[in-house]
Amino acid sequence: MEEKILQLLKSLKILQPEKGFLERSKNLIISAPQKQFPGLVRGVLDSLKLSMALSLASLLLFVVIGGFSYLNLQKVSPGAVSLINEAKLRSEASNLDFQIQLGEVKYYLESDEAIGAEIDKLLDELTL
Amino acid sequence: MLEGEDKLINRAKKGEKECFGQIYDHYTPQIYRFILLKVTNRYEAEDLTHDVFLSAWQNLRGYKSQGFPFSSWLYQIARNKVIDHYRTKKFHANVDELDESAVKLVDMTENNLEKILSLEVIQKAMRNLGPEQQDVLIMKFIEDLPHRDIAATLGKSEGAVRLIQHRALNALREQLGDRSADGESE
Repeated sequence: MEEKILQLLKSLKILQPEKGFLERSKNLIISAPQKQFPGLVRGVLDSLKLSMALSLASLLLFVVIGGFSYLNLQKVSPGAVSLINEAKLRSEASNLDFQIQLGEVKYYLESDEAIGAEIDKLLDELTL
Repeated sequence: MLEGEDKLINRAKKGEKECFGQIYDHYTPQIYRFILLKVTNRYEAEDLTHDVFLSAWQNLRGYKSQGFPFSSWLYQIARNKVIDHYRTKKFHANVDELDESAVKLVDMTENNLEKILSLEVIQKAMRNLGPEQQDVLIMKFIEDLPHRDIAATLGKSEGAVRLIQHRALNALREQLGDRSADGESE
């Protein structure tokens, strides 16, 4: 049964279009203009895709490089390092230390005087 | 596949009408058969076949080969045209109103089974199948296309195409069996 069906299906190949129709149809078709839009639109879309890809790649590269520069600014970035003057920093640090020491001396002197005055006052009271 | 098809297509893309004419001559019979077995008469089939090749010619510059034969693209256009045809006309084929002049009947002097399994009957039986089942049977058994190309045309896997083919043959066998039983009872 199945073989017979397949045989009959194959024999449907005898169905053919009429020659008159073929000639008429072909002449009408090839005399029609081809559409320009699909090619143009496709070209524009392709170029858009390319430019989008390039833009995104550039943006990604910028973000990656920028991120590294920001994170490693003090260690890596040669521009940032060149701005730092080591001698100046040292003098600033030593001056700071010196000022702290002077402040301490002044404090001790003032506190010594106050304590001495208080002790004198107490001794006077005791002697009375 | 047409000899030197890629070159012909490229030249036709550039507007060379003779090259598209060769493509037309080669593929029209099979696209016409494909459509004729899905519509009700040869006039509709001719109109739709004309529309298929007109669309192909007009949109040829947008065609990009994706490793499948050019015929796959033509079959896809033909399927869409047939779908649009039925959608716009809201028309359902009535098998009793079919134009049978397109079908050459087998020798009616043969035995009863061969009378039943005539081309006319199988054509009518095929019209009762689903569109995809029709597509697969036509492309596989009438046009001898490989499963790979049919799968590409239908946008399905080869396995799915084989399954549709199996079901289509079963459905056809059932229908023809019913007709055979009706014929014997008459």
